[in-house]
This record gives sequence, C-alpha cells and structure tokens, in this order.
Amino acid sequence: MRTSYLPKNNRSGVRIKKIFFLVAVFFAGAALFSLAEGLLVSAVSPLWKAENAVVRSLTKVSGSWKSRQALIRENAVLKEKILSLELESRALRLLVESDQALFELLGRSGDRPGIIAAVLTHPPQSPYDLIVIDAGERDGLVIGAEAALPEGPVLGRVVDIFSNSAKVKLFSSAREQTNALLERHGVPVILEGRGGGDFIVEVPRDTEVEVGDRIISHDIRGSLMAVVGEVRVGPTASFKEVLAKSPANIFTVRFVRIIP
Amino acid sequence: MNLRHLAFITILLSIIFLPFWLYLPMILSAAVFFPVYWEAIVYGFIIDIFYGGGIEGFSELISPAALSATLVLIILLWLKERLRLNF
Repeated sequence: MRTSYLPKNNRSGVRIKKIFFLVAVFFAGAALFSLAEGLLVSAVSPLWKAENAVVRSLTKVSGSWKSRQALIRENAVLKEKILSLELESRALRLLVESDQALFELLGRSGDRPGIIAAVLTHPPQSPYDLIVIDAGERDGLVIGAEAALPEGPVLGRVVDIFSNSAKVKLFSSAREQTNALLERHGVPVILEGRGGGDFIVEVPRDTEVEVGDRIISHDIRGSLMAVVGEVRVGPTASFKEVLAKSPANIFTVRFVRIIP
Repeated sequence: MNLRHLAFITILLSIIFLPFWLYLPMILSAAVFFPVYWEAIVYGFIIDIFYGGGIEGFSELISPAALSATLVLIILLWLKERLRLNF
C-alpha cells in the first residue's frame, strides 16, 4: 500500500479516463456478447452435461459408504412412505379418471404431448431462478412452452432457445407474476415470485387460507404451482400475505417435461 | 501467466461450475484487489448469458449483472482513491 502524492487535478483526470474505459468495455461487451450468446451456451452445454454425470457418479459412490444400520433405518422409513403414497395415489387415480372423462365430454384432449429434457444447470449455480435444459430448437421447442415436472406440477416457461439447449424462467423468479387460483375456494390470485422457489400472494383479509393449501394454474388442467407455507396478517392490515413454496425442489430438479 | 490471468480463468470456471454465492464474492474480491478490474464486466455478461434472460439489445435494460459490475467498479475507483489504496 502506498500513499499517492499526485496533484488533485491530475488524479481526477486519471479517474475520468478510467471511468471512460470501463463504460467503453461495457458497451463493447454488450455489442459482442449479444452476437455470441447462442454460441457460448452451446459451447458450455457439454461441460455442464459432463459435470452432471460426474456429480451423479460421485453421489452413487458416496451412497455406498453408508453404514448398514443407517441403510436399514432408511429402508424402513422409505417402505412406510411408499405405503402411504400408494394409498394417496389410489385415491387420486379416481379423481384423474373423472377429470379425463369430463375433458373428453367437453371435447378437450386430456393428455398433452411433451418433451422430456434433462436439466443442465439450476439454482444456486444461477443467481436468478432460471434453469438451462438440454433440449432446444432441434427438438421442436418454442418460446413460451410450459415446463413442468414429469409428475405434473408446472415450474415455468421457456424464454430463450438455442439449437440444442434452452432457458426456462421459473415462475418463482423475482418479481415474475403469474395468474393462479387458490384451490380452497377457487379464488383468483396473482402469484409473485420471490426467488429460491418461493412465492408471495396477497389476498383480502377475509379470504380463508391455511398452511398446506394448494395454489393451482389458471388453465383447464389446474396443475399444481405452489403450496402455502405461511400466512401473515397484521392487526390493522386489509390484506393477508400468503407465503408459498414451489412443490419441486428447484435446487435438485433433474428432468422437466416441456409442453408446447 | 500472471496472477490476473490465473484469477480470470479460476473465476470463469467457478461461474460455469459453482454456485453463485461462491463466484460473486470471488469477483468482488478480485475487483478490490486488482486495479481497474474490467474483467468483472465480462463476467457480468457471461453470467447473464449463461443464467439470465439473455442480452436483448440496447433498447432493453442490457445485462443487469454487467451494468451492476460497471457501477461497482466505478464506485471502487472512487473508494480506493479516497482510502489512498494503490492497488
């Protein structure tokens, strides 16, 4: 560290030159990088694929180091969970079948074809709630196509497409607003993203909302979008603040279904 | 290869493979340590290309990360001068 003894005028001239240089770099970068966007993403995609493969194999290796007792405990917990999920799925199957019959009566097809894509990057690699997938223009993707989990819940929309990859902006992206329905009484709400898979919804104070309530999409399918995690209401506030969470863990999601 | 080149490659690889809460502090540290660290603006563009909504053109608010990096670098210039730091 040294003390600068330059005269003040000279120093401010040097500072202005440096600022001018930084602004020039910014504008030159904007021009250059806007041309090279697709090229850069396509060039890095194989690296992300390789990273995913390495992480998956490392996870498998670390799994084999677990102790026998821990595996027995985990096995018992998982068996219980399977039984409970089987019961739940039997109950839901009846509802799905009646929904399908209703769609057919209304002349609307129940099944929508989709493309399964692997997730190349997801938060926290990305500072925004945005994922990069390994399907693109070649696979018939279009901007605005919906991205959902293979199990059903919708996550976001395709915002950018390259030849063999695409970007999906999640509904939970900061300040992203999506029309949705609070399932309990079919109340239309605006789901606002807060990042990290979280949402915030404002509803009138008298609206009945409870933790665990589902927030579903506004379309005919009514796909799950979020689950209420907390309800806040001030003593004099006229609105309730509902904090909701994405049903999917966006930090570990591996596959998505793209519905054109 | 000097320290600045090494830092550039390390941070670039971090942007590709590591979570943002690791590479953003690395960029900030490099911006404090190296004089006029214009590479931070390049990182901003790269972050927005890889993980953001893309660069739409001059009519839109271009690359928020690069714009933030430029502003931080300008503030750091002034701050380093005020603190009489010569790096």
